Amino acid sequence: MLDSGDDLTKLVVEVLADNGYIIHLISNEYRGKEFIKYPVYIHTIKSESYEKLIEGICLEDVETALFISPNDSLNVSLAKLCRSRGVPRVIVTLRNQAAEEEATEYGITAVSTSRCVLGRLYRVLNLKYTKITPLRGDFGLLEMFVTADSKPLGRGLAEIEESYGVKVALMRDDEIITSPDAVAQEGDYLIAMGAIGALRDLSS
Amino acid sequence: MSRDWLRRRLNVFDIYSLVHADSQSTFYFILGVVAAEAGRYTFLVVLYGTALMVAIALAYGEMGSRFPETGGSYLYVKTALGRTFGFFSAWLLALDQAIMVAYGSLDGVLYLANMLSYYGVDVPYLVARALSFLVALGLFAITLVGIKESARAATAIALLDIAVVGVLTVLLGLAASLRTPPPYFSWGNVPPSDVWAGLSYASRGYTGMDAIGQLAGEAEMPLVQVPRAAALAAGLGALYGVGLTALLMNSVAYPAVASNPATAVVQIAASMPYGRWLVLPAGVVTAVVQIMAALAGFVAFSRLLYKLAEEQLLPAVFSKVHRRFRTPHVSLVLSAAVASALLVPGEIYLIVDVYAISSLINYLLVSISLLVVVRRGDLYGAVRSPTVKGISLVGAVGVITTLAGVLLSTLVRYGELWIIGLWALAGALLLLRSRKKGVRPVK
Repeated sequence: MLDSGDDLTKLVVEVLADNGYIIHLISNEYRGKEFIKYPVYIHTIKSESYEKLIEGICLEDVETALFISPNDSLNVSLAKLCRSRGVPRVIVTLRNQAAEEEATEYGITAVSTSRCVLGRLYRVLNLKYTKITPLRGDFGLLEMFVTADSKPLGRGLAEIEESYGVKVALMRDDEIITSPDAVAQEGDYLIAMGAIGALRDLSS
Repeated sequence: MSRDWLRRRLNVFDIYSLVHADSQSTFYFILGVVAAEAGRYTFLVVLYGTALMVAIALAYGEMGSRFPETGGSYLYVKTALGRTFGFFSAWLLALDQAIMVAYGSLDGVLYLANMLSYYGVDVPYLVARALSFLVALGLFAITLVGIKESARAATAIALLDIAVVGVLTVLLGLAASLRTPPPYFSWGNVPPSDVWAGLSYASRGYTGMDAIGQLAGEAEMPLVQVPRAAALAAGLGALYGVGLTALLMNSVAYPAVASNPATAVVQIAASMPYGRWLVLPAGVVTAVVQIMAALAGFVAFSRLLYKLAEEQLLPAVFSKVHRRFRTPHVSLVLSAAVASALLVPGEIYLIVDVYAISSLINYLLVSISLLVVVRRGDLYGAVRSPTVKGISLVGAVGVITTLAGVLLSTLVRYGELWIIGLWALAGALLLLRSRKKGVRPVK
């Protein structure tokens, strides 16, 4: 795991350690002392290159490699090295879409920090938001923030279900609403399950 | 994908407690033997042994502050010197664990027998030997069925031992009975039988430190706790060692020690002004410590071989687990076989002469590994001793002292070294066989 240089590394280390992972952290001499309370190997970079340091770790025993530094090109180049050495699962955090595409090409799992930030902003600022997550086959799950121009606005759940052939629920404040008579209002979160085409139609 | 892992629940004293029996038992076993050889120089010889132990503890502590997982010296040596050296360090250490089963079983029974003699019950040596076999067999059965080392039980025994031997015997004894000055105490006229032999045995008087590193995988904060536990083991070990030796030479007659060297602690307890009351608890506690050490020997031996087989350095048969009990039964049978072979002659000096030389070689390899790891400087340690031009002083002292210990142990008592040679040869053959069959390249 490549140090992010901030608190993210500590959070990730804690979670991974709680899940029984043996963690090899690549950091620097200055940051090293911040991790002595955690069950990690702390590899400190000195005059050698990152590549050489990573080669020194028994990569054949590594199950997952995680590169979360703020430097996209460093993350991708080290991730590619790990993939080429047979590490089965390599995950990187990236900010740029071009880097994401490159990572995906090499079988690297890319986590977009931009999208994570954006996702949070959607929720904090109540921005117009739709997300369809494929579940199985042609079916998926729609999350949608109901705004003034949303199709479901002012329609009852039974009506929506009948029109689009999907199952629908609403989240309003701390409440989950499933009553067929309930009407979608501005500011509701609408959750729907059904055929992906129908969900696209509903959210368009 | 399912994942199994060890829970991180051990604190510093838990870690220490789990290796207490292992580390203390050796000294309880070997003190009388050192004294029988070194005569009036016993105290000085034990001081040398203590210095060696402290050097080993510091090296283990500093090395352990870099490794967060279970594996101990195998991991340390593998990281610094490669898999082949790592294999031999663990393979040799395993032999000592099997020997510990032998001496723990035998000495546990001898301590009980010796304690009973103070109450007029005479247990013939042959009966004690037979009982030691039964103890070893019983412990084998327990570990086969699958006893889990319990930190709570280990803590209770460690606390009991600290109370009875540490406080009531050593501290109170030093305060109440010490009348003669060091370094000869009351043995000023006792000529040494063989000082070099005494030094050889003292070099091996404090083994068990290696087990601390094995517990890193269960420690809450291994990089910090392993070195602290090593420091605690070194401090208490030194206190016990120096204190018991002073009391032995102050209060116990040399001929009594020389005629029955394996039970020095009970002899010390009996010599106290309140010895009449102390003999029973001291005898029971030391016997329990020895038997716990034998149990730990079974567990450690089988797990070391299991780990080596998992790493494809030994044939897969050693990583087989019993269908019902889920314990590494093949490794356990081998451990019982080696221990029984050492118990058959019933000769305490045979066990002493073979014991702990392998551990010293292991400690030497760990000290060399520390030098290498510090020199490379790429693995951050929570504990870092001073360096001179990139050379770790702790590592250097560890190499010098352990090398001296290995040389003393091998040059002075070479008669039974063929047993260790045979064991190393067997390991080499098994490693070669695994290399031919295995898919993983051996560095």
